Amino acid sequence: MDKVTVEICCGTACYLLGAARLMELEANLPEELKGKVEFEAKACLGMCNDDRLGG
Amino acid sequence: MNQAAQYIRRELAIRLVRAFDAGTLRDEIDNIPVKLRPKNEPSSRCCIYHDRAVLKYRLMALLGYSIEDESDEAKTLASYLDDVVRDVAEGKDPYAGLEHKMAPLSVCGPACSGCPDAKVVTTENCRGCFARPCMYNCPKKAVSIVGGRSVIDQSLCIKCGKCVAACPYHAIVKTTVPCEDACPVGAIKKNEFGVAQINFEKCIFCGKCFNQCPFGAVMERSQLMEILLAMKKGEKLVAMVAPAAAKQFPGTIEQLLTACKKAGFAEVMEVALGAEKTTRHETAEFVERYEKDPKMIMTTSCCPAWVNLVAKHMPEHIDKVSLTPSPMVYSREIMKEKDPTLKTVFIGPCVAKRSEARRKDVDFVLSFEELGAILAARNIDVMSCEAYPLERPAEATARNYSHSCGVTEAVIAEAMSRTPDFKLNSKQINGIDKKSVAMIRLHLMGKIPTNFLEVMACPGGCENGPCSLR
Repeated sequence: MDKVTVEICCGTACYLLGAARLMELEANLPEELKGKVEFEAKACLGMCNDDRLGG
Repeated sequence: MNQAAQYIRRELAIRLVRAFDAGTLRDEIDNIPVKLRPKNEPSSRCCIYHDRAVLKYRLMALLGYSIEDESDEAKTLASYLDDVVRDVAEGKDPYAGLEHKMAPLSVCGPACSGCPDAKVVTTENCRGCFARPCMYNCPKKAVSIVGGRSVIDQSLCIKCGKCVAACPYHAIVKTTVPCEDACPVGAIKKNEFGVAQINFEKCIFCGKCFNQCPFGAVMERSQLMEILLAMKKGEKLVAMVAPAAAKQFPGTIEQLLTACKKAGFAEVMEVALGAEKTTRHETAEFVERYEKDPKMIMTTSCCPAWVNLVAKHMPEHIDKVSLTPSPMVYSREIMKEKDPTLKTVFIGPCVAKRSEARRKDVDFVLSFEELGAILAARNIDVMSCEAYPLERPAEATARNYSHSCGVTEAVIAEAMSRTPDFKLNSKQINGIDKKSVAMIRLHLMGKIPTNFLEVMACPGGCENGPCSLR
């Protein structure tokens, strides 16, 4: 299986509402996923301005 | 740490700033609780109506009001908003006439669960064992075996917890009232209605109850609205960012300063520049006191909850607290010298700074959460900001003020550079709680040899302050 990259939005709104904690996922991956997933902190992905997502 | 309460606070603050910027706040503010807890969706408390009621009070605290000062339950958030807008426009303090005008914390009665009094009780996990460690370890003979099970006589129990620790089945539990447990000075107690109430004569504003209440019933009174209104009026505000900001936001402190600038602050500075002055003055003060009396003991003065603790609970030791102004106060001085028309805004993770700011003429205090809300609402992404061109970065020791031991290290480094064979016998109190308060007394009475005592109310230092982002 290819390595999966998970982008985590670290824009200010997401960061305040939990993204800071999501970044800790990497250290807490279950054994079977270790080495298969990587996490990347991203600047604002723009989701916070989308009304359908709770904007 | 009550994360659910943290997130809801931040969400409300973001919505408030967004609506303010859009010019729709007055129309929207009373609908925010309904929007957040619509019908047919899950509630966080008994029902959505209870949730909505608490959200209203959270917004009231965000508008700067003390919930204890509510005299008319039917008064809408819109009319509270009108009051703030009118008073700020007239240059008046919107909270001047209120009983709790000086208190930065407020308890929301409807959110308080009125937790049952702390006690030690045996649960049904008790096996009625032969060894009976609960009975034999009890110093007050409060435990007996009735009907094959351990029973604790509440009139004798002193809640020492020896039986709790001794039971191999974990069958004895100690229930607690989290706010009372967290308060280092016994300032929060239930009133005649069974609701927690803060005694502001005793409260040192450390913010422990604010963080520890699982119901999020202790709320911080914000100056967000006053700041937004001042910005809109075109007043020149300076963002004085505490050293603790370094690990709070994504990106560097220089990027955060740029973000503040974009958010509408006329000037920005790092409070670490003020901390440099604190270090120089504090060291000089130490040397002076030491030369006068080598047996003296001096304590730090930059943690406002600590200064409140001494002033309110051990006034006999107040002369041992250094008279050196805190980094915030020096920062204010630096900015006011530059431009006396500037309004100063301290940005940090601390509740107690709000009480210090009032005493020391700092105009406003903004928490990291509230700053974050302004940035989020104005779509300012710290990580994408350029680094702010500082005249010079603050010294590393000054930027370290936000850690426990940071002040001590700065003072030692400064003292060594003046007199290399200097003898500074330092001790640190890393976090104020019931136990460390007793330790502090021992230090101040000279029972534990030391001449420089650093006290930080938050374990690990300001970066773990009650309003920190992590």
